[in-house]
Amino acid sequence: MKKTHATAWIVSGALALVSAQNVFAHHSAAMFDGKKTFTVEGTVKQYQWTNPHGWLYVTFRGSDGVEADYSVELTSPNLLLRRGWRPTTFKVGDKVTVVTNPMHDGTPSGRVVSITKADGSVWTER
Amino acid sequence: MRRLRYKHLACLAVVAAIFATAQGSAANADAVSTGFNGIWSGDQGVLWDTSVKPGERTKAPFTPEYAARYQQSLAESARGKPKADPTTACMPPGVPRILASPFPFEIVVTPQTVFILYEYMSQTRRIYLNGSGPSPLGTASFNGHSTGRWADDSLIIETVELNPKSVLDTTHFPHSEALRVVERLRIVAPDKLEISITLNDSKALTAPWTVVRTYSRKRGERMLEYVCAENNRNPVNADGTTGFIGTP
Repeated sequence: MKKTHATAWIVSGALALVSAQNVFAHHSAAMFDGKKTFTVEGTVKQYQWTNPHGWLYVTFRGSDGVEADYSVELTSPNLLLRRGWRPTTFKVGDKVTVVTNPMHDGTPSGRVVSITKADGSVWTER
Repeated sequence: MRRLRYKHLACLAVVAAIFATAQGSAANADAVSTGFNGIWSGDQGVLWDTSVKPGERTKAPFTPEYAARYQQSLAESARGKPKADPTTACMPPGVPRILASPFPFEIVVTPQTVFILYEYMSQTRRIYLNGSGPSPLGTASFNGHSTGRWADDSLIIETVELNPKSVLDTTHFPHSEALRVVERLRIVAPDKLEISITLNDSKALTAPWTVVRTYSRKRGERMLEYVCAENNRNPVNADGTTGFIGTP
């Protein structure tokens, strides 16, 4: 599937979620589909540096041209901080490409696999 | 006058040396106990059974009743509807689950009490040593009632009065109120702490069951605050499953 501003479902190995399991303390990872990844390109609407999870909210334009929001669950900022993330890593309006393990129930949300910024930097929880 | 002062100092040094020799064994014991002091972080994952991969069933010898309970939780997770556990609602993980947290903890040894300060959920455990400290209260709590004793190079901790609300990991590994946890802590290599954890639970397990976890010393690490209620977007649904608020 072509990946433009539209969203793309990509079936991939479950490795990303399996390795991310080690930071799942607060709730089970079973709500996310570890067998799929979902890629969305958009702009940062909000970046929450909070426990028990950090969050990145991204606004993207769907294939129908309509803007929509996508929420990305991160692990605790305590762990992110130790992996080099900071409260200033993302700013409102930053262009990002986000890869997640999406929610099973179709909610426009997912668990982060990677976030790539316009400067080429790639952010993961590992 | 100055000579007299030196004489006094010399006498003091001799007395101190004699005292130090007499206290040699005590000093060794202190060296063992204080070797646990510091900040540690777990080497294994958050699944209680360290011998299995995510998605695999634990090898714990559950009784039929608790095996059925565990199996039901696995089935709910397989449907993408994981059951919420106390931590999802920002309650503490409790003992022994807190030993499998991905966050660091700090051990502080004092003569009467060992304090273990966990970053996850800002929890504190107090291990009362050598019969000191309060008696069990006859009421269950998340971290229970812990007593400890030194045995050679190890600290042995026994914990009872544990809250059966707790589970041991996100697979809902269950336990009963009869759970008695025995931890054996020892330094097995420079900057490497091993904790052997035995679960004794006559209602949930057919036999005592042990996992061994290791922890690495984190020199220069800074313990951080963890306030779960700050932004918990996983409310517990009416059916007991884990909720998810995906909007800002």
